[in-house]
Amino acid sequence: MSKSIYEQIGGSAAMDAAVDLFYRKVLSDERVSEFFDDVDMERQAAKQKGFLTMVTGGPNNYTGRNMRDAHAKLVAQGLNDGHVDVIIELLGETLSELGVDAEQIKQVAALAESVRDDVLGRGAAN
Amino acid sequence: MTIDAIRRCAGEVLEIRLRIAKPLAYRGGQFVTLIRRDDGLARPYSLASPADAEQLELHVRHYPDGAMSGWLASASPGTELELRGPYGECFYVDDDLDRPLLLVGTGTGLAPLYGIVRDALAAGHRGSITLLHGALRSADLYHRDELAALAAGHENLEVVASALEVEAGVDSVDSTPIDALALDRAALSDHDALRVYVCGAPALVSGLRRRLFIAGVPLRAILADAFLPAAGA
Ligand SMILES: Cc1cc2nc3c(=O)[nH]c(=O)nc-3n(C[C@H](O)[C@H](O)[C@H](O)COP(=O)(O)OP(=O)(O)OC[C@H]3O[C@@H](n4cnc5c(N)ncnc54)[C@H](O)[C@@H]3O)c2cc1C
Ligand code: HEM
Repeated sequence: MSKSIYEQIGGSAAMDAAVDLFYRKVLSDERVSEFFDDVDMERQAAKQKGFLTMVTGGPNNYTGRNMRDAHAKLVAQGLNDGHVDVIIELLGETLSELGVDAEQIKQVAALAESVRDDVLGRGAAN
Repeated sequence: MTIDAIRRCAGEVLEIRLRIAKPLAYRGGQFVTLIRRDDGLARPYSLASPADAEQLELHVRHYPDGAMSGWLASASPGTELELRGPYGECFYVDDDLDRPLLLVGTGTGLAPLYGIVRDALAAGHRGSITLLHGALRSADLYHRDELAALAAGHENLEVVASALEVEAGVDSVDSTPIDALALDRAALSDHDALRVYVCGAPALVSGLRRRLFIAGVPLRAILADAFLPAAGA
């Protein structure tokens, strides 16, 4: 079995570096920054680590229902497909800065795509 | 624990010295909870004294209608108090004596920084240490002589005072807002080595932490204590 991208880029320690990069991009991007206006930056960073671990195939216990619950409030605030596109774009930039190649970034994007409907609260809950 | 001495400083600040019954293991910059004996009223205050000093030093901003600070302002030496702690992660760590340190505080946000800077100097810190102390009015900047004396004795320490309103005749106070000064200083440092401490007014702390982070300082390198008011105050 091939290694997950999570393992290839260095596991948990690499995730910490990735979180800073990714979270910084998200806070600086006016298209999505308002969704991350949490004053408790440590708490928010921990969730970003959860996000990055999940989409790179690392160890996580997230389910479709978790993803609905985690984003339900944001959907009520207007979260839509455009925002998901931005997040996937920023995710790609982050991984590319960490030296992940284009082919692998495509796989990560596909993993993120696979929960798009759950994140946006569409379709049946599983 | 007993109040040894109370001194009134500029900016409505009380410098309070406490004698502790048994030794307390702590680092400058951590905080303790002071508890009034009569009724259990409790408030957190940061430790301005260096690690493990037997006499604790606190800087308390006196709010005339403040339950604890108003009471402390009229307390006399010999008054007994209870203490809990120490708590908090905002202190000097000697993992790299050469890294640049940036310490930023408004008002009594200087208290933890004064403990941290003295711990750093005692540990033989070699990297540059920049301490920025801000207030609304220059007349509210306290401990200026103490800080100047400290800086005079240590080549790697620079102290910068900042106030939005600088009274006529007052020199060496920068009228640039403290957050702008902090971002300028951070931009001049190696982001991967820099460690930043931000203490005091909650709006300064959360705003500056966010802007420093966006500017490239790793989240883990920013240690902060926001002086949040007590619930219901
Ligand atoms: C981790 C931590 C560390 C702290 N360290 C220090 C320290 O080293 N030195 C220090 O002076 N304080 C520090 N504080 C704040 C301190 O704990 C009290 O909140 C403060 O002294 C006010 O308490 P009080 O009982 O006097 O006023 P309260 O009775 O709680 O408040 C009464 C009134 O005082 C005024 N007031 C109180 N706080 C503020 C404020 N921040 N801005 C404007 N008006 C206010 C308001 O009018 C308020 O209605 C710290 C807080 C935290 C959470
Ligand atoms: C692309 C698909 C996405 C995936 C796989 C994903 C995944 C996650 C995960 C795993 C968490 C952590 C949940 C937790 O630990 O509690 C989370 C939280 C969060 N996500 Fe997403 N997310 C996606 C899209 C988005 C988008 C588009 C936005 C906004 C623009 C967003 C904003 C947030 C916020 C603000 C939180 C924290 C919620 C809170 O504080 O409770 N996410 N996400």
